Amino acid sequence: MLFVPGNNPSMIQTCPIYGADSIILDLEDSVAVSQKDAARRLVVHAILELDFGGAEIAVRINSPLTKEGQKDIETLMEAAPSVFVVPKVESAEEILDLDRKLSAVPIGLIPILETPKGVLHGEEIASSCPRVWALSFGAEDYATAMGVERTRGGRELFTARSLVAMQAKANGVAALDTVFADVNDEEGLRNDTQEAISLGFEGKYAISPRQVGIINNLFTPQPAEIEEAKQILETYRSGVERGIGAIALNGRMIDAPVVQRAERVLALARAAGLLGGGME
Amino acid sequence: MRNAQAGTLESSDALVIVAPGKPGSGLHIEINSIVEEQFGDQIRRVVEETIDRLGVQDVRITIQDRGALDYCLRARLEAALNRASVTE
Amino acid sequence: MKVATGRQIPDQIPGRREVRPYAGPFAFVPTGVKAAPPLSMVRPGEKKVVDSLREAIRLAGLKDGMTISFHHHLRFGDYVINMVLDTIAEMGIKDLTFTATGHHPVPESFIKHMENGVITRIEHAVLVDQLGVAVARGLLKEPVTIRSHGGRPRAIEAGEVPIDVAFIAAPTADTYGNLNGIDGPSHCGSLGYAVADAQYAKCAVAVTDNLVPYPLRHISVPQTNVDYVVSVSKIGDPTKIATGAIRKTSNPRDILIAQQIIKVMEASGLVQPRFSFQAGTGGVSLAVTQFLTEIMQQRDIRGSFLMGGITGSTVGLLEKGLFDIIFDVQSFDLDAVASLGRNPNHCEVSASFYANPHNKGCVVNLLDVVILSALEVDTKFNVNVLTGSDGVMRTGPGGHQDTAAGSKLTIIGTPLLHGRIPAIVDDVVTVVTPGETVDVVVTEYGVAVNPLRQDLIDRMKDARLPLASIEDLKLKAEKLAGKPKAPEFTDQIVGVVEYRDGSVIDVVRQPRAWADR
Repeated sequence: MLFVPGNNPSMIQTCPIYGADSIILDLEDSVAVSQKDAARRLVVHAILELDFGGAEIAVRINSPLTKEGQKDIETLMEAAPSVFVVPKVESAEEILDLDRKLSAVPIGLIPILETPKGVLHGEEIASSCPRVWALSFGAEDYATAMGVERTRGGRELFTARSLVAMQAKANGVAALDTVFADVNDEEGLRNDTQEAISLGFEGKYAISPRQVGIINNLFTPQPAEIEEAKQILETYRSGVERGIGAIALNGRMIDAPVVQRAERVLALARAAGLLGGGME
Repeated sequence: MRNAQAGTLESSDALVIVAPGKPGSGLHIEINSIVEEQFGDQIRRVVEETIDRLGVQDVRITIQDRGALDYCLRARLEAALNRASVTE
Repeated sequence: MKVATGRQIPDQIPGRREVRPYAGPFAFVPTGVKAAPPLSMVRPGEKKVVDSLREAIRLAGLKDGMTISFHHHLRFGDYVINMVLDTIAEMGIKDLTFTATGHHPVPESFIKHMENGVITRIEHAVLVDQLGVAVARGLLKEPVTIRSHGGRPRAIEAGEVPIDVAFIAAPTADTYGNLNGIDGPSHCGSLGYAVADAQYAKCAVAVTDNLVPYPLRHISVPQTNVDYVVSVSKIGDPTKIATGAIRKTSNPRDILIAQQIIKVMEASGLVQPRFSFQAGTGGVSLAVTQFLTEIMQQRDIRGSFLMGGITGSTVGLLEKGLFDIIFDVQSFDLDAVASLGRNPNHCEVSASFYANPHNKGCVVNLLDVVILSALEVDTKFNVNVLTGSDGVMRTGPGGHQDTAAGSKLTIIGTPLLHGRIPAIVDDVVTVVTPGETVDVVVTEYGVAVNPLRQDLIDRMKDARLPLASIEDLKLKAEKLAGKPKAPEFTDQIVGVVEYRDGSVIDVVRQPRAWADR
């Protein structure tokens, strides 16, 4: 998921080449206040007229509690991107208001929880409405709201981040991790992404094309992992066919959670184009 | 209507300046583009179509183009016209 | 008459004795012998150091109608070319043929010399800046002749460009005319493009800002080919001659194209021990060099030689022990200059050694992979590296034709659009490099392999590359940018594009937009 500044035509028209699964045209933080109206028109025309390849198109609108946000919603409804990314959400109320305003237009919602209040209300926000596809955590604004410095290890974010992942999972929506702001620090990005994966996040926002490649690689299973997943499913299926009760592989029980994890690995591998013919 | 502009002189963008014309003066377009020869006609067409679609009368449009594609020209023109309080 | 690419060229071209049509990259076999300068003699005690440029020009016997030559190793920092032209103009000499090897500054004064008839003919490799516009305006009596880096020394050695006075900007010169480009405040590295001129010109004048006592140790142009040495205060602007090393590009689109190029190289099977490689100096080339470094280190591969615009990036490959030798015909940055000065495996070579097709074998014949850029490529894989889409000459072939012909694998890396202008088109404005010598075109939207290379197509099937036909890439470019209006031309020919073997591969006519200016 690649953030693209909404007032920058050069970046908007080149972003499809970087292989991001979804492109988020941003009307919020990357656009100067005086240019938000122009950015709005640019994003509308981009969505209506450009070919973004297979990527999903999202728009990060300004907060619906602001005038700009309201204008974003009215204007962008005509262009109908797949999803609105909604910043600084703090209550289910905000989501329901937005849901009503959107009425029959099929636009999904991804709230960003980036304040302590937002994070604490994640449960109700995640379950508020079927439009909510995912929950997102926003570290930068969260740290500011908490009045703390961001550190490389990210300990100050740990609880909030895990909480958001949990709330997402508990309510059957995806968990998307925050942006890693230092575009030049590749090692830092790798560590941050590994952390997100280990906390259960299923995706991470990128703010530069270079980040997309690195993030995708880390979220994509390794060949060894894929092999193992294939073996697990093979063993499981043949076990089921032969009516074996307790199925084991290399001394390890293959029960439902193990099978599900293996299926997820293969799904990710398939999405990354790593599965040739054969075992599916 | 008042004078207004939108867009930038960055690569792939265009700076669109809108100014009210005298009643009855019609549509005046001035284009200054880095791809004048190759796309000058196309840029003019896009401006005419957009002005026509929005039903704007008596206006002077000046475009400083840095290779903007059609979608960007339309967007910048609409934004400039909005700012000039011509359209909603 | 028709040339082998299918284009039509006129049977006769003003100012050109013979129009031999391009017939294929290696169709023409030269006959005859090489040209030679007159015999000469310098006695013991005779001095070569001359007080002023004016005096040197007088002693050289420069007269109206003669041919003068320059190299471009000082690039946009060169002062010598314009200094010499201004002096010649002051002396009232005119109707000269100007020949140079590459890009240089083209100030107002240069154009004035063309308008005033000081320069009436030009033979060049690259027409940058206002020079292309001046030619489009029709300022010259005859069409400009454009030659590649290999084609120019070929023409000089064959006597087709008889040089009366060669002016050689020399970052360091000793008092007897030994020259190098390694030392001195205006150091530029290799002087490879000056060698043929020094060897074949009737008279060679070295212009230096670093005159040292005899003898020089590192000799790029020897005393036996130099008549006079003139000392001036500055031969160029060091900040524009050799920049600080640029080793990395951060443009994500260039990086993406480079990644695809690397995949093509690997799929070709050519990245093996002892392989040879050449890249340019643009962002894509820099990124390819960076990725190549990583791969070669990982797989413990050692290459044989490197060629091309030598930069800190190229030097890095040598210093990491990944390649044995660098052949340097042009050093682009200070890292390259320093390396040439101290590393015995960093070798200076002449343009003829590099790319002349009519000697006993030039380096490009042994190249495995070359990465090139392009202004335009058409659906027949012909490449234009000369005229913009408005028909004005804005750059030049450099070593494009030569490396494409010689290299086992020729890859063109280019963005699909240059700004709003499509880089993939139905027909290029000017054919400089013929499609039959171009193998793969890599853009950020897909990779097209020349149908003539079925062997490569087979190899790439499993490489997980976004393969596309060249037609599809062209359509994509048009869909993105819109279809540009084609340039219109008058009947007047303002440029002749020679192929490296001296045949004519295309002509450039005057853009109608400039005809009335």
